[in-house]
Amino acid sequence: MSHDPLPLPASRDALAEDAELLLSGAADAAVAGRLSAVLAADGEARERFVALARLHGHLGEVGRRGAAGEPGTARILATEFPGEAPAPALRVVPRPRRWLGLAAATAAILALGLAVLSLAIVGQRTRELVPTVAVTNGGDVLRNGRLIPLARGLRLRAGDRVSVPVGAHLAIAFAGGRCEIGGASEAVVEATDRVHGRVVLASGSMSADVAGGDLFAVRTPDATIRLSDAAATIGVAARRTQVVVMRGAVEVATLDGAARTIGAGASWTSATLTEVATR
Amino acid sequence: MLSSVRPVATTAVDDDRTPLHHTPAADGPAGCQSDRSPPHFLSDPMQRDELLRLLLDRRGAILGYIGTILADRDAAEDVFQETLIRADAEGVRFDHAGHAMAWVRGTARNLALNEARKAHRRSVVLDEGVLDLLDRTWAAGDGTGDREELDRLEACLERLGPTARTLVRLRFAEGLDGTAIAVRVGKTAAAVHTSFSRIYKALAACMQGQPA
Repeated sequence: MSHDPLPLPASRDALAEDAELLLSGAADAAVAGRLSAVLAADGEARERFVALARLHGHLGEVGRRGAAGEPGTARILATEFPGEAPAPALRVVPRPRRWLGLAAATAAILALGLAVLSLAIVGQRTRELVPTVAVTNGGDVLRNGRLIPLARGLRLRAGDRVSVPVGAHLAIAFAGGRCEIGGASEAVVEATDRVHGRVVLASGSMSADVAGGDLFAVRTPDATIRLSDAAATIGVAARRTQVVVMRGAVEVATLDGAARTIGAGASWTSATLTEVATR
Repeated sequence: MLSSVRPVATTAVDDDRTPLHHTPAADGPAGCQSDRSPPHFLSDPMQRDELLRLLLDRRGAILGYIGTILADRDAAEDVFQETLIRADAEGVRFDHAGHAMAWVRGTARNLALNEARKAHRRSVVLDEGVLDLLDRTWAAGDGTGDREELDRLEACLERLGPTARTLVRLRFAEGLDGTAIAVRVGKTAAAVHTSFSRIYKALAACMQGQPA
């Protein structure tokens, strides 16, 4: 859709400038005092300030989506500033990767499926309101450029990139369910609006068990898997996705917009690029 | 439905514009360490779920509210999560969304003020009397979920020029402060803040369908 460009106002606006300083954490006591005086006296200024603060909050959500790679949002923010200096390199120690083939991924997600089933049987599902690490034996979270070791009780938040090394595993409890991320996996926690949980599985394998009417979605490079009152395992290897449904039914939507429902006991594997090209 | 839950307030919570710190859970000292017993509990888990969905649907607006007290996004996120947990743990009953949002603002405000004190940032927070006045304005937007505003915002963002969008990306996707952004784009921090104030004005006007 084409739009007219949105010009920035040429004139300066003291209220908007002070609001920006306050909302960005750059205000000093003088700015806060000046803003307080204006807002105390002027109802219209209060309405404008609240509108700016709401906008700031929503921009934060847009930024989180963009950082998590949500396609539409990331595209909007994919811009270059003329002469923009490159981002300083993160001091993240690379870990050796072991690339899993689809067969290895299948074995991994079957193992995870068994783990989920056993969790359901013994009733160990917890009900955390925010995604919280329930079990871990290694791995870390990349948050705002800082590496945080995974530890039981750590609350995850939108934008967190979780890395689980080979041989380790991670269990995350969230509202209405629980998910397990297998070894050699990379996942990003996406914004939690509309649905209680959404994870981008970049590589590796994971499983999820979601109770009742709660929703949980897993996005992979070539599909989005939505679970409600269902359990499934999902594996990603060589940019192909495999889904095995353990309980209930899940919806799988591919990048071309096609959606299908996969029932308990059934599995689905995305087409290779070659298969897609020959259609 | 939230609207089907019986009102149970032990203190007056009469309408959406009731100052949120008058709600029971927010009457304690900063940090919400109230010594009163929790007001009332939901017996129906579906109603509790509905409350949580309401809060998640308004996550952006709630974080915007917290941001007026606590600019640090990580700290604001912690306050949001803690508020969510308290909403569930205390199971406070609300007869409509306005009550719920007032309770949320009261709880979030106390938590955020407590964090600001701990971070020695209390002097850069607006006066409490002003926060009271602002709460009434915030309440006027309680009926709007994030989805509608986010859709409009993304449409307006697409119309911004690449320079403005880059600044938005650096601040909100990469989490850089004004000084760090200034280094990246070769401007002064003051110029960056002025640019953002203009971007906000343009976006706010666009979202209301007005010229900037």
